[in-house]
Parts: sequence; C-alpha cells; structure tokens
Amino acid sequence: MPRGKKKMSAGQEGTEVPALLWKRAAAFVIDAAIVYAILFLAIGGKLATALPDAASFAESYALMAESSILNWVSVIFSLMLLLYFLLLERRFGQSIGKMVMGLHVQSDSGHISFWQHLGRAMFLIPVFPFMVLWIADPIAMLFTRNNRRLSEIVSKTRVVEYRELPAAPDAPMTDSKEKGK
Amino acid sequence: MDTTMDDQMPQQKRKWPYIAFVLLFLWLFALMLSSFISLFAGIESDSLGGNVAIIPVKGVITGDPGSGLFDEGASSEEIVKLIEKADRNPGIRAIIVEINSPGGSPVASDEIAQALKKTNKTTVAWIREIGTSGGYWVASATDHVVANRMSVTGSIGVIASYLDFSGFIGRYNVSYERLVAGKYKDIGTPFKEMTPEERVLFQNVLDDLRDNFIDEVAANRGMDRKDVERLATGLFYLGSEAKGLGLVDELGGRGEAIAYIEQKEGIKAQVVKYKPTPSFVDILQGAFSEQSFHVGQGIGDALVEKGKTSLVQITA
Repeated sequence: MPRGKKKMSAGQEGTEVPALLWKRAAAFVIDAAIVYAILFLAIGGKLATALPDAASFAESYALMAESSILNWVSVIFSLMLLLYFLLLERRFGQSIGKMVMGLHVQSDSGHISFWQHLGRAMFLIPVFPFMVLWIADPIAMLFTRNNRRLSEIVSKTRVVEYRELPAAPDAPMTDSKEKGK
Repeated sequence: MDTTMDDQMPQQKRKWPYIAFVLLFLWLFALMLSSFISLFAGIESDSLGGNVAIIPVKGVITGDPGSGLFDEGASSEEIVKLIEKADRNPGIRAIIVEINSPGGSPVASDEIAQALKKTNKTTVAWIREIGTSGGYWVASATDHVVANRMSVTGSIGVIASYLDFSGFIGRYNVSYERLVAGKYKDIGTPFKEMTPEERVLFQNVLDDLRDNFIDEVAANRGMDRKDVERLATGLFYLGSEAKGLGLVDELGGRGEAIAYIEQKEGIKAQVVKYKPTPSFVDILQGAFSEQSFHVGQGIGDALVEKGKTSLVQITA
C-alpha cells in the first residue's frame, strides 16, 4: 500500500492513531517467530544432529553456550531480523506481523528514507551500544505519549493503526451500505 | 486519502511474491552466514556430538595461548579447557589425546596431565610421530598409551640451556655492569659466565624437576620408580622399544585407540574433534596482533625480555 493512504473498508473514513502497545508487541512476536522459524529451518537440523542424544534441554543449552555457538546463533538471528524489517518495511511500510495486526510505519515528515528505516531497526545491530536499546526501547514506549521507542524518536518514525471513524448520526444508513457493496 | 477494496487487491497479490522472496533470502542468508562463521571462527557444531573426543596436543607445549591465530604449539590453557569441556559433556564417554609433541614447559605438561587424571572418562594417548619428554608426561597420565612402532617417545628428563654472550660482548669492549639486590638475582643471564656455585644450584633444580617427572610417570604407569629412573636418562625410544620397556601399552594408531575404547566402554565410537573456538573478537584481535607481532618481533628479539634477568629455558 502506498504510504500515506489509509487502509479502510470501502467507503468508510478513518483516522491514524498511535498503535496500541499490545498490538505492537503481538506484531513483534509474530515477526520474531517467523524469522526464528526460518533460522531453525536453515541450521536447526545440523544443530540437532550435533547434540548428544542423551543430553537434556538444559545440557544441550549449556553445551551450545559453552562452545560459543549460541552467541553466533544470536548474532545471525539479530541480523536476520534486521534484514527482515528493512526489506519489508521499506517496501510496504509494514512487516508481516504488522500486516496481521493492521499496523503501519510512518515518518514524521511523510516520506521514510532508508536511513530512517535503519535507524528504526538499529536496536537489532548486535553490537554495543545498540544492544542497550533492547532495554531502553521498551522503557521509552511505556513513558512516551505516542508509545514510541527511543530508536523511533531518533529516526523520526512512528507506528500507527487506522481506526474507523464512527458514522455520523445524520448520515443515512442506506448510503454506507450501498457504498460497501 | 481513501482507497477502495478493488484498488487494494492487485497490491495484495503483488505483496506475497516479494514476501516469499524475502523469506527465501533470509533462509539462504542464515545458511551462508552459519557456514561462513564455522569456516572462519573454527566453530564446528559437530564438536557437540559424538561419544569420543579427540584433543590434539601438537607442537611445543606451552602455558599461554599464542598471540595470533597462526601460532603453532600446544597451549596447556586451551587443552585443559577442552579436556574439561569434554568431561562435562554427558555424551562423551572417552577422550583420545592425539600427541605429536617434543615436550615443552614442565608446568604446562603437568597441567595437561593433571586435567587428564581428573576426568571421569576413559582416556587414551595416541602418540603419532613424536611424544617425548613433556609429550610423554601427558601420555603417561592416560589410561592407555598407543604409539606407532616407529614413533619416537620417552626422553624422560629435563633440559635447560642458555646462550653465553659474555665472550662475545667482551670482544667488542662491552661490559656487563652487575647491579643486583639478591645474590642470585641474575643467575642465568647470558651476559656473564655462570659460576660453579650457580651451576650446582641450577643442576639441583633440574634434578628436582626430573625427580618429579619420574614420580609422575611411575605413578601414572604403575611402574616401579627404580625402573623408571633407569629409563630416565633423557634417551628417546622407538615405539616398539618403548612397548618392551613398559612405557607404551599398545602399538598402533587411531584405529587401535578407538578399538580399545569401544571394547572398554562397550560402545560404537563416534569420534569428534575438540579444538579451541576463537570468538569473533579473538579472530579480529588475532588478525591485527599477528601483523603487529611480526613488526615488533625484530625489535623484541634484540632486547632482553622485559622484567626478566634470566634467559634460561627449562623444558621437559
């Protein structure tokens, strides 16, 4: 959908409002699950066969952590998420999770540049000091007026959802029904 | 600006091929990046599995890991970590120490030997071309020693050496100005000839080290101390000879080592190699320090080692 357009049912008017926290969290969980599934498909088989048969989950986890494989898996996961958000949000203004939850990314100035997209996703860069944003971003969401992450404030972007405006009391019902057909 | 449902449909259709492309790209990205990391970081996910761990002890045995990626030598610090890692792995039933070392630091050799003795797993030493001195010290700490009939082993003894530059600097009218607080503080300095008294002191240290070596081998191998002392002349033995002398349990190689484990543990061996896994920072640090090291090496070699007055090297 082109940026600035409102995704609405035909004939109805709506308004942009800051996305609700739970919707944003749900969208992120969906996105993370998708990327995790792809990562698991790519390297999970190799890891599974490499782990000892008798090992419990805790032992397997400890073995992976000890061999630094877990660190590398985390790095790959972060980079995949970074690419995922960049590629999809740059193109559609929303990731799959945001599509499901009906959310959109918007810029304060209208057009979103590549650097703004990168700025939004900089919390996924697996290097200090960007990793601090893993904590700072959610905290900022709780305390800012429009539920904005710190990296969103810096990149001058926001996540919005469209809400339908209630139909005007004097508007004839038949008109809207006809338009919806 | 509103859009109608009809306007949105073609866009929805165009979305999914692109999304599919992105997901496929990410899958390939994960595959390639994981292979790339395995290749350059030396991480083998295979090292997590298997039931027999092979840990290489190759080159001169030293205490600290090298300064760069390409340093050769067996660092006791790294080898002990690998032994402990294999010991903690519940899937690993036995450890094979693949030895190809002429020995090295007595302390480092003892550290590896003690780590092997502490494990609850079956341990086997597989001596390849050479397993002498400190290399044999390590081998003796295992449950079973396998060596090729032509491999070189033994050489139980301690050596210390230093270069005496006193004649050289005298020829060029350079004098060694001795300023020490402590009578023997500069014992072993290459700039003066060692006194008979100092020589005796040094010899006593070497004898004590040799005694420790003999005690360890005798205890590890279950041999009479006198028998080991008789062999501890510093002489090396071929594998076949060493077997006759009781220093080696079996002639052979990797196959024999594995067969011993399979028979003792009643398992079908799945061998995995354990080797140090440098972190990403280590890789970068190694790449940079390698260059810096070679630049500084020429200068460093010409100077007396910082903080040391003695250049005597003691090796087992």
